[in-house]
Amino acid sequence: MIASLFWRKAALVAHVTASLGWIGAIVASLGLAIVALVTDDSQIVRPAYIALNVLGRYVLAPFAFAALLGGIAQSFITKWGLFRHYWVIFKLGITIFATVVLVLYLRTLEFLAGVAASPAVTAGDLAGLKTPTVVLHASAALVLLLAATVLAVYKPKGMTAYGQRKERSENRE
Amino acid sequence: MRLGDEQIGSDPVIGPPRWVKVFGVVALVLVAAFVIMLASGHRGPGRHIRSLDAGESSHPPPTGQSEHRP
Repeated sequence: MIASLFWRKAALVAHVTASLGWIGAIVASLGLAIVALVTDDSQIVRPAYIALNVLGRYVLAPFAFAALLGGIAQSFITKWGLFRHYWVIFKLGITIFATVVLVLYLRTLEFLAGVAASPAVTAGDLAGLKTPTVVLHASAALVLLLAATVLAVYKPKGMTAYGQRKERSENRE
Repeated sequence: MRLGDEQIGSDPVIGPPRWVKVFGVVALVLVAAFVIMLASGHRGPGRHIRSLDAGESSHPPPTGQSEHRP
């Protein structure tokens, strides 16, 4: 069912806003993670990991789910469909994959924040916090979301067999 | 122009373009690597920061701590 232009644009605004928020939060996380990795100042390392946990739980995860649900909603109310075009399928796959990895990684962020917030944290613990894992995950997420953005903007040609059959049957009606 | 307009009217189903095959191979490799990591239990805090997870402090103290003096 294709919705009216007003609702399609409203859904697109919501989807683009959620996706932008997700990418923005990833860039913010990447900045915090890089600073926490390269600095030797515990006054910066500890709040950086606490902030990363807050960002992950209350910004990244909600925006990720909003972008995923918004994208699925878009496919139902526009001509693009969910399984008609390859670019839509790949974008959906990228979004699901990035969301699953993010949800699994929240445990790690919570653990790191717990160590950073502990009043009994030792110098060895702080050294252990200086791990490149957060930078790697944030960088990989950024690459994935940029790939999804490129797909959404360029919409490369290619219809699935299902999409071709649907298009033909719709044109016959 | 609507995508796939040039395909309308041709009865045989047109196969996926080259970019789909390239993306598909990359996606398969990524997903396989992820599944292997999950299946082998190499995920979570213990995987990323082994020394902290085990309750050890085997790392040397970072420079800039209170005990360090230039």
